[in-house]
Amino acid sequence: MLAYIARRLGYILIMLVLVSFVSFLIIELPPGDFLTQKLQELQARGDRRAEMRIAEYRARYGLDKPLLERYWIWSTHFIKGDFGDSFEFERPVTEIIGQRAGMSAILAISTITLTWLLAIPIGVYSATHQYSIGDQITTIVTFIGLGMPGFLLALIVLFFAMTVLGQEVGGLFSREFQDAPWSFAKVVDLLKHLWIPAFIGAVTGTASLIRIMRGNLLDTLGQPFVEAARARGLKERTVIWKHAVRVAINPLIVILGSEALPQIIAGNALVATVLNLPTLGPVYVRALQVQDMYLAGTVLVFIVGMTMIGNLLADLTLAALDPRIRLE
Amino acid sequence: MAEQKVPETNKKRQISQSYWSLVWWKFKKNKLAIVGGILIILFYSICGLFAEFFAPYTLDYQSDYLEARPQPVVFKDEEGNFSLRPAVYGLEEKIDQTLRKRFYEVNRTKIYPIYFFVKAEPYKLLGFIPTDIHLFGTDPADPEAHVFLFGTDRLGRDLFSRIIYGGRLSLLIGLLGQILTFTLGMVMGAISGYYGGVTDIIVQRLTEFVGAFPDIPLFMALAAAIPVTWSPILVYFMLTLILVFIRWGGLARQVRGLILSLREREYVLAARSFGASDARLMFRHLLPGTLSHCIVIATLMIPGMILSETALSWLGLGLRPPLTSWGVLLQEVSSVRSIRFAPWLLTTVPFVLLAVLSFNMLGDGLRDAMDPYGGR
Amino acid sequence: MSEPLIEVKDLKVQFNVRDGIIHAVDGATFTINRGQTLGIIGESGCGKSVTAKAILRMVPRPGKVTGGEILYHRRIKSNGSEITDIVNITELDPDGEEIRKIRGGEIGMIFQEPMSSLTPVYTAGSHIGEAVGLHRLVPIRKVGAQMVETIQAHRRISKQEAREIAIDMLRRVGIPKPEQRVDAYPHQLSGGQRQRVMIAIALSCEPKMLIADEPTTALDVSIEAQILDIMRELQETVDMAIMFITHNLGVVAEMAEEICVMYMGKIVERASAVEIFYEPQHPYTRALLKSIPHVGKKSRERLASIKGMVPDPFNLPSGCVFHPRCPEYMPGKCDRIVPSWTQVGENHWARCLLYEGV
Repeated sequence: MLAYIARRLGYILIMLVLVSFVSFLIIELPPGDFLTQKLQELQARGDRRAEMRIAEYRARYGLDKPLLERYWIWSTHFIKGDFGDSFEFERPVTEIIGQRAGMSAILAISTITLTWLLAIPIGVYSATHQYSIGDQITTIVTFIGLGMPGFLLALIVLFFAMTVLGQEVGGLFSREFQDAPWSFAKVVDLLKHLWIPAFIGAVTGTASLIRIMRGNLLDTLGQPFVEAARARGLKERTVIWKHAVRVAINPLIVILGSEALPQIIAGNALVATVLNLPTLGPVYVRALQVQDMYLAGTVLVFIVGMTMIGNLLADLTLAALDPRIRLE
Repeated sequence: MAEQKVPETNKKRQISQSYWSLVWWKFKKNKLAIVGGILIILFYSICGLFAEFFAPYTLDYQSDYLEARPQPVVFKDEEGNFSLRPAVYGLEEKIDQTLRKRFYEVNRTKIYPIYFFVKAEPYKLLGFIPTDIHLFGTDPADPEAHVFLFGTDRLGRDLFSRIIYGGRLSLLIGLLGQILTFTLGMVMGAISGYYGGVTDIIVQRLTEFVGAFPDIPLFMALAAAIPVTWSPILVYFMLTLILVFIRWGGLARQVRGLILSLREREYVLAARSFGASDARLMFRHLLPGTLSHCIVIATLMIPGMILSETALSWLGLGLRPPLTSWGVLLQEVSSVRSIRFAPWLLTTVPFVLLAVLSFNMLGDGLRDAMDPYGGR
Repeated sequence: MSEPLIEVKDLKVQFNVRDGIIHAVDGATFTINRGQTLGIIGESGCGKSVTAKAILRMVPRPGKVTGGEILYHRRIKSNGSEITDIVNITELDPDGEEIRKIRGGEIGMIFQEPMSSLTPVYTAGSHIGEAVGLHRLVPIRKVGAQMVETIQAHRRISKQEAREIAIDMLRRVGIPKPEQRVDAYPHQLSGGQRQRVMIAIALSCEPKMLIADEPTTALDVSIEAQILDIMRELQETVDMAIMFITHNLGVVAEMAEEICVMYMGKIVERASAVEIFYEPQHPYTRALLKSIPHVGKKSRERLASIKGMVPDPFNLPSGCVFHPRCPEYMPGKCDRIVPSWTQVGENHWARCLLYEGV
């Protein structure tokens, strides 16, 4: 078991190195770099010393050096915990990520909790009452949920909130609480704002999870051990939850594992952008767009790292839950 | 013992049926799937094949009515009396003093009847039949008449027509992309699963690597790498290829899993024992066994492709004008300002939803049907 | 000991499917006595499993019991003496507490596929523990205010006791090293062992009857012999009735005292095992017996089989359902008249026009 974990971790490390390098390449791919845009901006403002300024920046950020060298400097610092500076914000990457990581985590946890609290019971109901009215309605609603792009839903929700409710729904805090120290009132304010992005983020995830739960459970219900359990005199509720769902839910645990951790970092970045949330998502999207190299690169590495660790945890959990699985 | 014939069984009811007829029979029972299938056929016919016929205006026609609201449909004639022929109310331009904005109000005194099979802009039906007949439109002799069922955008272009044309691109990317992904995924998955060993490991690692990257940066970077100078068609192709590149890993892994489980089955060993070659085994014996699963997976992946294209274009990274897809249409509604002042521009959304919904219902029905022996 | 335990009277079970109605069980009547083994044989699809499930009110949807009744003669202690309470199973709520008490606690059932009949994530021990915890109550003696009084009360079994019972049961069904096997998962056991575990689970609740639905069909012959041996042994020690369902004539000959032969939802013959095998009266039974190949007998003849096919359930033949395949078909009679249940010997019944004076 330990050997397995060690092997996986080693593999993850190798992958991270590769991924970080390829990320760098990818971010570099569009022509020009962060400073080309800035140059245009400065020139548009009539700054006649724009070119000189840019050249200074270039030297400072080391953007005049070849890619490989830049990557080498960055990755060697990365291991020591120095993630470089963000061009746009002109602050260390660590600071920017640190500020927003907390909120990202809270949002992710709320979204995931909401998703699972909704999806599992509905999925189980759908499977045990197959073809009933409730099931048909659930099916249609989940299909709509699957098809609705998150960012669109966010836009529509914003629209309704503004016109119908007359409320400001962007961000996670009202203006008064934005920079205020933590207090009970602040937490309440947070909750009031949190439910909208959590709900929007939960829509697609819930829909997909309901379909999977329903499908798995239907398969499981057809297996003989369910009938055998019933024949032993167990209550129907026990038969369904203790036996059928317990077996059917295993693949879903894997999904939870592989999606939960990366979600903490990236969340649904587009939705977060639309709603202007103080999480990592919007910062990350913007960094990619303007080629804020080190910020984007760092976040990417974290996302991929979290994904792979999440996968590992999911596999371990699955092995713990299902005695039939043996880790190679 | 009297010798006697077995009486004729009722020939109308066949007792044993072939696999595909069973699949069809079970599929028919699923009403949602049938609805989904019909909708998809409608979508591809209307938007794909006969877009020019169904759209009253061309893609780029710019009227003088900028960001005009949709016109209500009524059943009256030009004098205002009841008529079976549908018509629309005209629009009148007004200025909102406080917002300093132009907007349009419904003018009930102007009534424009809608005619069917009207002559309007000429085009080539199905690409080669020259004609100029459109399904509906206003009186071609009246230069003032116009019918904007879903309103117009910033440049005065009819949204209804643009949604139809947009659908053509969005749906085609979905389909074309899926066919490419399907082929690539199946072949790679088959090779990987069948040969195992080093080939398998390489393919596995490759798909894992690509799969480990979160979608957005990969899309963004690759899409942004397409030079702006390329012709729109080329951009379209590259975009499709990018989508394929990202997606095929998933399908390949599924196929690989299926092949792995089928590989050791008896019928494969039997075929091999009479000298079937690897290629023959793969293509004639193993892949058909995976076919039902693959069809389901492929169908269910199409909505994903449509949504990816939508998201990309919405971000400004995918298709760009003059190419118009649903994503591009939504790009024009991307701010709260546009939602507030021109909410009809969101009409594209239900169409995207409907298309995705139809594919999901169809795919779900196919999945249930492909396993005709299981379930109730 | 020929007191009735389960009486099935004219049981009818229908399945309402879109293409019509399937009469899965069409008027089945038989009685199982205490401690007796009744065998039910017939081809696949003749309705034997459905009959068994009906006894536990477990007919799967869209099936429904549409006629007849099933009576369970339950012995209870009342005021120090034993009386028999007759429970009409067909009137019980299929999800109710009454039937759940009977399921597993008073009538046990084992199934055909031992692998898939055990929940993969629970150990053998926890299966037994669950059943035992549900059905077995331990009497506790409470001493009342006056020393003379003792109140009879019951409590559920503790975890420790359940585990001990589990180990004991596993030993009794012949599983070696039961203290270790009690923590084994189903996939860690062989087919024969799993079926033993199923028997152990069923027997751990001390049921009055065991319904065995093709318990050895999925096992190979040598294991089958062992399982059958265990079943017989245990039956003797606990005086339990067995309803043994199978399509294997050899197995039923070994296990059953009385046999019912089913065809298309109807019982076509019922008699003691000896009489069924040596003096079969119904043409279907005779044809079944004829189709058994005889080892050691040299013969130029082809293997005998019953000609024709099982009819389409939506297009049943008129009159006697077996007539298109019957070697003793009487034209004009068998295709017009439905035969009724006739006595053809002492405790030997058949459903055939040959024995009705028509």
